[in-house]
Amino acid sequence: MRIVIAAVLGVFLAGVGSFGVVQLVDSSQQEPVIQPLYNYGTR
Amino acid sequence: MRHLTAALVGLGLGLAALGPALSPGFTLAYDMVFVPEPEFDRMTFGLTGTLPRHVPSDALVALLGTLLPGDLVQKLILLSVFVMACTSAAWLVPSEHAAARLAAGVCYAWNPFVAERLLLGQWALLLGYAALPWALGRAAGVTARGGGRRLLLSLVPAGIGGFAALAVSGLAALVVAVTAARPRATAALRVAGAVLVLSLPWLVTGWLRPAGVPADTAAVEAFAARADTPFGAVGSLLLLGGVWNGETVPRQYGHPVTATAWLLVVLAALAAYGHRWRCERDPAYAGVAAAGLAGFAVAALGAVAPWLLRGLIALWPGFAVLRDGQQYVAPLAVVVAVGAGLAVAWLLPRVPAFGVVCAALLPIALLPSLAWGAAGRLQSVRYPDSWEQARRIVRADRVPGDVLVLPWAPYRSYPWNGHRRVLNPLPRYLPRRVVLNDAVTVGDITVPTEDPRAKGLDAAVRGHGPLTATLRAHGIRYVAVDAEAPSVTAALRARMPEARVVLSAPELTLLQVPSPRRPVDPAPPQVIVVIAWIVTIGVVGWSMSGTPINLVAHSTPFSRRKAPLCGS
Repeated sequence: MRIVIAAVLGVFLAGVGSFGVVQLVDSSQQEPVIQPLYNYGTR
Repeated sequence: MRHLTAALVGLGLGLAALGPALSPGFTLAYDMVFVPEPEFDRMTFGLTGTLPRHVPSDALVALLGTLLPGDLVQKLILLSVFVMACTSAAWLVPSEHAAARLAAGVCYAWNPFVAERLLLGQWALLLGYAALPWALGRAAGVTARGGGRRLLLSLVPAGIGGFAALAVSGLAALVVAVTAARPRATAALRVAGAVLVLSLPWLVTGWLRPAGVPADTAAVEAFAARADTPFGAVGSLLLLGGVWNGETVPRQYGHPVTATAWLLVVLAALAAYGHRWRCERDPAYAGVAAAGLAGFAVAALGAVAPWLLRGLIALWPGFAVLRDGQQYVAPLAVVVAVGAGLAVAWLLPRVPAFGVVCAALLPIALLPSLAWGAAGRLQSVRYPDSWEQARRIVRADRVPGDVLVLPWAPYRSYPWNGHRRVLNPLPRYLPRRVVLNDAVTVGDITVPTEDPRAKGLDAAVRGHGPLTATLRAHGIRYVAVDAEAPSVTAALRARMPEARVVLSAPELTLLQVPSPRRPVDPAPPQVIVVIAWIVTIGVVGWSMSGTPINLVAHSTPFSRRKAPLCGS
């Protein structure tokens, strides 16, 4: 049972942690792409 | 009470997800266009000769717009998506534990599918998605007494959503019905009948459209599912993501660590579903699982076998409804959500409450960038004052004639909308028929123009010669320039010196063309469209009358008995 709890909490903390790191890296970068004005989107 | 709790949780999720999009004003993103005073006009009913993609969802907006301000209508509709999604998914979970049902509701209302389709502005599709668990549950019991009427009611949100929403829900309901209900032929006929009745408003206008249904096969690549995680396009679809548009993926979604964690959650949910199905031997489990599998296969078609989809569209243009593959993973989301609920039900007696709560909230923890207007990407703005002036000018003018919109493209990145992409709102904003180039461009692929009026004007607009005589001949009274207005207007004035500038603002310029011909739209016969609407509204009304049948039912179609091997 403790293993299950640890696994769930581990996944949760890993998610939060990785999000924080990516957020930090992302916020330190500038927008690299100038999007075309009239496109519906890009793949 | 159980529905109320789920509805409140859904409301909370909606408030958290929309955030700044709920402030006064309009959230304009890709296909999501709402305007201050939505009106019933020929376009609302698909009578302008364009493909009726907005039928009947625009009619709902116009109807609500007669009672409420336009921006409030938008917020109510968006919140209702979350409320319905959470309530319907919670209803489908065969568990007495509120935590299990709410876990399913959270998983169904907060996942990559919802985030990506919300960012793409497809609120009408999400209406159908939100009610899909009800529809699948009802389809399993469609041959029971009153089952047909219950199914029809559960498909009403998808019917309002229009052809895409109804295609997803109808296909999934059909698979559930023929798998889980007996006799199969009766079940299939009832589902087909319900879908047909709800389709009439757009089916009739689309079918009788003088220009026919376009069969463009190039768009298969443009709208096929794409990888937004490290697991490829098919793996991304399994994770309920994989939208074709790379710009509408939530920030940080697809990071290897969080994507792997989300993959584990999805696999655990599917395992819980499979385990319960094996123990219960209830055909409803098989039906919903078959719908999820079928939806997954259709979703992957454009990415795995585009040649097959191209062939199908060449055979019959109606298969174009399968182009935007990712939307068909919606039934899989139902399976995952129910599985998540069952997994939490299994955890309940084995794990402390804190662990259960963490498990139930995993979808939110792994997709935090859906929160607060998808991390600020959905925000309310106000239309510029010049747009309101343009509407007043156009409305006050007694001379008939339509409005041509330039630049000659359907999507915009207005500075006043934070440069977010949006389908041009002028056709809904102005009280006249608006002609714009509806040829959408995705990367290097351009899907050809579908509006016959735009086709007729295409060469002249793209050219460099005089324009006034052509516009008059095509019944154009105004030319509205709503992007790059100063430069486009300067070039335009040289081509149409007879036109008068009646409004000049940085956001919008309006030129008036003298004495245009009376415009004529090649549209389907109005009387047939009226009959279609009467039949649809009449049958929906009939399904609500008589025996007390509610959209929100009291019990799930899944068996709740506890099989010896299954535990709780």
